[in-house]
Amino acid sequence: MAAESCIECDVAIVGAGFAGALIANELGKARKKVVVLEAGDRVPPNINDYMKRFYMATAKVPESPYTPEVFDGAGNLSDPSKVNAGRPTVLSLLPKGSFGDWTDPKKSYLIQKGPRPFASTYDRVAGGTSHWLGTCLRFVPADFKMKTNYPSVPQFVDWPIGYDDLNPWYGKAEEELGVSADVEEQKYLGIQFPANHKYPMPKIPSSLVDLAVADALKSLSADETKFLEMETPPTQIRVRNLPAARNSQPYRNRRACAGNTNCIPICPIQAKYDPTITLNDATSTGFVRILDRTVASGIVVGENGRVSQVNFIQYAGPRANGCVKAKIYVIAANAIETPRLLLMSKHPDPNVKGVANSSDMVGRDLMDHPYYVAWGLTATPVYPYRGPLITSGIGDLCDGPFRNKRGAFRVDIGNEGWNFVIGGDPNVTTLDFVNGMNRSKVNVGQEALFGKKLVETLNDKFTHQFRVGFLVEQTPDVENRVTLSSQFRDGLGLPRPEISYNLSDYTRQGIVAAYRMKNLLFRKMGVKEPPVEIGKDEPTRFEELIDDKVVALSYGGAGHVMGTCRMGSKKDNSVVNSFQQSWDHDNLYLVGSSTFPTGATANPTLTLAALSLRTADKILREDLK
Amino acid sequence: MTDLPHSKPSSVAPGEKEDESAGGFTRRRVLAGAAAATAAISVGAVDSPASAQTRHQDMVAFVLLSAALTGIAEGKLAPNFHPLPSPTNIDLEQSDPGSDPVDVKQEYFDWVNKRHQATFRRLLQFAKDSRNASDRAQAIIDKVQATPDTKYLARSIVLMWYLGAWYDPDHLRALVERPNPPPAKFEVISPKAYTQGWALRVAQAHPMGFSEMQFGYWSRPPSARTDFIGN
Amino acid sequence: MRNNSRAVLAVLSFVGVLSCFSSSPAQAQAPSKPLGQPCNLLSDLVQADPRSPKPAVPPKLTPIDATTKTLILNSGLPCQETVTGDGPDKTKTPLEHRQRGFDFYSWLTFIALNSPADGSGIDQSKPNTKTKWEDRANFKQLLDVMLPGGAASEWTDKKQPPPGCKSQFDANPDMMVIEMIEETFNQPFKTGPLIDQQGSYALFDILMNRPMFDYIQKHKLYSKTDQLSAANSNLKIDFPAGVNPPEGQVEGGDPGGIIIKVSWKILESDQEKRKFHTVDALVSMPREDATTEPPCLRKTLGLVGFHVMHKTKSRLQWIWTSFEHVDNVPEKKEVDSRKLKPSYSFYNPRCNAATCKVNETPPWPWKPEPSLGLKFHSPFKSQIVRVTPLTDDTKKMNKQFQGILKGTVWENYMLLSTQWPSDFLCAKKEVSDPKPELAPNTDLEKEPDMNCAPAPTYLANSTLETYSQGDIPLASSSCMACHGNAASYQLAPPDANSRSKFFNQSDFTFMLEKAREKAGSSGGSQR
Repeated sequence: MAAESCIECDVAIVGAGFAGALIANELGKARKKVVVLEAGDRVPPNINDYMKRFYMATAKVPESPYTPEVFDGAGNLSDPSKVNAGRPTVLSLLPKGSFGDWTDPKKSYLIQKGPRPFASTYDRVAGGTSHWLGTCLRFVPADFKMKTNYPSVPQFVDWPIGYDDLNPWYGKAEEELGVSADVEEQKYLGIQFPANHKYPMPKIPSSLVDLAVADALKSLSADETKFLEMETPPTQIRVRNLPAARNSQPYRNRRACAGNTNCIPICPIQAKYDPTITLNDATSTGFVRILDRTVASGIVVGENGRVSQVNFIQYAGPRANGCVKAKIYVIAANAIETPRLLLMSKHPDPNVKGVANSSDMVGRDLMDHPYYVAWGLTATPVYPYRGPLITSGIGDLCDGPFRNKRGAFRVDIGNEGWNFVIGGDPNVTTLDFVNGMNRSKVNVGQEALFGKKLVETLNDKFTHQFRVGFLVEQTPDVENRVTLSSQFRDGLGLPRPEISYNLSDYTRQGIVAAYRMKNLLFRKMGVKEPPVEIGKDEPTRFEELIDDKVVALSYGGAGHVMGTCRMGSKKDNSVVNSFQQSWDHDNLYLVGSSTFPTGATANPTLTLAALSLRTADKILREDLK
Repeated sequence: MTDLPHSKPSSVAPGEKEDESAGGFTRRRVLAGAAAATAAISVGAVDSPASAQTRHQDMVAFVLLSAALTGIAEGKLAPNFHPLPSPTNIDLEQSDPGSDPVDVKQEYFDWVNKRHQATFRRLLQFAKDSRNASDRAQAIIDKVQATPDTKYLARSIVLMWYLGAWYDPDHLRALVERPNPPPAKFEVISPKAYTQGWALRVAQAHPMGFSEMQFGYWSRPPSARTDFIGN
Repeated sequence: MRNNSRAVLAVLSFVGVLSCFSSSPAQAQAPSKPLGQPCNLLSDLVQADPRSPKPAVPPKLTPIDATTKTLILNSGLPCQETVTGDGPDKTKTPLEHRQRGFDFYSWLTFIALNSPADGSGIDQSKPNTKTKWEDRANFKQLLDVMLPGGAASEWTDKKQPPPGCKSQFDANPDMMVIEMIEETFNQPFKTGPLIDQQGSYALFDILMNRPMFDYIQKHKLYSKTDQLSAANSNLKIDFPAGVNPPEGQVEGGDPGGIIIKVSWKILESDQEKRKFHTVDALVSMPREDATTEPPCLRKTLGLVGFHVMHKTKSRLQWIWTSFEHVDNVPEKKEVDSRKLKPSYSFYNPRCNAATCKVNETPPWPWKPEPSLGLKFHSPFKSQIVRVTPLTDDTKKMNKQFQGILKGTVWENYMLLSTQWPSDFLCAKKEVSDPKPELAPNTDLEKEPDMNCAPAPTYLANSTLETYSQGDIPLASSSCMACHGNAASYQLAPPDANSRSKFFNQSDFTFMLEKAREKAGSSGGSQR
């Protein structure tokens, strides 16, 4: 690419998601010229199209409101080899031979080598996680020092920074995203705040479901909870409100939550923060330009080891090639697309595979929060389907001596009944009782009803629906990795990401503990589980011996893609330093949850937002002063 | 101003006072030709050359049919529906099929009529024939169950009201009668239909992605089911 | 019937008031009767025979022509709507009859609010005649209520312009002053500014009447700190509602709460100034920092958009009226059939769809550049098309009202529609749980639809909700669906347990968001 035709700026950012948008905004406010390359479609003036697509979707998966379209015109999953800026969908995580065969490259954007499917997805518009729930949890202090705290687990490493380093940045991130929570309630497992600290907004009120769970767990015996292997068996397990970037008051020209129960995939009134808000602010500074439908295709490294330009392909109209030259480069493309770009790029030294990869760690240690769900019918009505999808959870079990042996778990209390656990309620249960079927497993008699009986039965079922989820800690495993497919390409001819993924024993034991917790909770709540069986061909199925019985379990993805460009204190076993700056190339930053060396149990967004602001500050103070 | 008697729309007696904000009360208007002409304007694409009068009567029948099958009050499915001269003595001509800004009943009527006109007409006839039965809902349900055609179309209609989505009757039949049934298939009728779905209102909630309530409502128990569905 | 006689009485008493004033300009400062005193009791559907207690024939539509012109133009402000589902046109549904009643009420409201402040008739008005709502005795701008430091104020307080405008204002204290904030140039939820065909920003402003102001002062809602305080924890915000006088009487009614939102175009040519209602204004540009005084520009502003929110006892979810200038934008149908006017304020008929993309937001940055005055930084001009056409019924009514306003600039305005809660039993119904504290003033616990079925479902003003026009639930503009989400800064009482009830719903207005903190208080971190 001829140097003179490149766009020039102070900072070039690849990816307009949380990390990219926040950094762009900080730099734009400081009057630095920023160009953001966003692979996906441009952000429209309103969400009419997104909402229409969502309302019309038969499968209301996280991707459903956004482009690229999940289905093609013939009703098949869009062929990823024909999509310019593709992305995975949960619909391509289905058994071999089925409609969404996870091993079929014609269905699955990710080339999944296994042995198990990587179950999380992302979008390709305004970054890629506008569909997020909104959860803004801080890591607990122990999460940053897993190797020091739990030396018996070989996979763990320490973060090069700790909770105290991030404390002020957490506060700034919470302000930027607009987080609602109560400070006193969030002080657990060592989390602390500066004196007189307040969250930007008061907490979101708890739901009736939350109260039912809290009631059930307020009086326990040591015998019942000793399986948790906490410091001492708890006799009460506290349900705490979930801090969320969801307005509980008017905040920065956005409305307060109205309980549309739709956070994932899209809030119809933008009471939930998403990166388009910060992108709007960033572009309003007059110093930030966003190029949409612009896919970074290669990072070019000059003789001096510094990045000299980023090449891109544009597909809004006829294909065009371009490039951007900057003083500083920031790759904020998520933990699969960032390593993909780095590996696609050629390093001047032929012995080095890709850019920023002298450690050979780029793409390795891919982590998720494997998500275990269970559901049942409560003894008394809990009135789900009301309020945000999740308003409270259990975080008190996220750390303890057990972490020497098994992964921790955080508990999500679902407000949305069985909506997502049985593949789209109320449709499934309603169809059952109208058409005399039993896919929900609660219409055992296969009754087909009309009129008053139908109303009473459905009311009875829906108002008692309850589901719980567990985010389980996954070890960073060197063989869980992102590489480039040598065979399969996307619509622009770029190699698609190839994923190798498995769950370590440590992680699976975390799921087992979650399973036991579920049993305790359901017993205390009086929840009856329907007789659900995990199909033998279910790709996320695995079996464990629990109390001398073989139990079939399965996991989902929490949407938390982490670990592939880990930060560390030394360049031979990490990719970036604590400021997310590449060890290999001074003017290159890799941001987002790809830099997490361990994943703990908290949703990554707030932590990556805090790290992004810290990085932006460093860039302004030192690199661009 | 004087308060009006609080009454459920479906049980409003003749001569009942309409809403008035100021001035005197007006008596309920007689609908005769008016409603017929109304139907002529509001009915969309219809294949058969039915007269405006027939369309009006069909809509009244459709509301009665839908209420019987779904278990949701006529006045909720079709706001301002008024059975006249009385709920136990319904005249198809005099009755008011209802008028409201959303008017999803028209969208649904047209949708079914376009796809399964013959069987739909039979269902409407059941509603007309049974409109003054002592247990109207059960009478209609019994008639509907008698043959597979009417049974499955009735189920499609119920699912349409509950979910804003169309499950084809032949597909519904295949789902229960075939030994290895396919996955359930449906299409969403429109964004309006989706947001007017009754399944989660029956659950004393609201369609996901469409709340007409406000901040904090979820921390309080819901209103009684009758506030939602009228029954 | 009683309707007519009451209306006649109302007019007579009003005429009596009129005769106390001469209409000479020298007396333009004389105060006229408060708006809505007495209430305008005219309604569109009148009984054929007023003496018949149970008329055998259905109501008659009010003629709006030379015969009723004087009556209608001087009838004053309605305090409460008078609508009926009955009507002489048998082809219309009850909904359509009521819609007509609301549209008639909207026109009466528009005329009353835009009548000359000096009490003379609207048919005597010039383009720049000060209107009743522009008179600070009748309406106050939002920023004059939501003061810095969360300060209290009196209705009769003198207008304090921003320091940069002081000298110009002191020379002309009658001028309108607009102190620009984000919402003055950026549409709700920061959806974008509107740039006219001459390259200038459109400006937006919000005003409230005395009952609104008094309620805000009484409960200290002008202060964010006080909204947050324990004293306001249990307040269920409930603005005063308009009500007609008791049956058969003329006095004793009250208009209740009214909020106005307006959009202005900056006028440059004299030709333009003849076709709009205009105001001589001082516009203080947005403040960049605490120390620099922004430029204060003297501009002639032309009214292009006019929203009215009016709360009444029978429509507690308010009545939502919207007007526009007839030359703002074409309708989509007109664009498709190329039936276009020679020029519009926000549309270029000579630019094709490929070059001038329709309903696109302007390029960033959006904030006005002080050195450019109120001109946009790029050659971009908004190319706006109305997505949802006016109904034929509304167009017909517009024609009639424009007919009796002929000869004034007000004939260049049209009603878009009136949005109103159509589920009447819901609009004033009690909850199933009949607890006294939930008496039906503003029923905050209505389920499943606290908006009580807005009719029509969607409504957007092309100058005020430019970029959210459409018919997609929640995403597209609907006055009530959006305003139903409005909340205050109230907090649950400090001793509340997790099961106590708490309301922060602000009765359909976003104004309370603009309250500022008391100096030195430790409130939340808001911009």
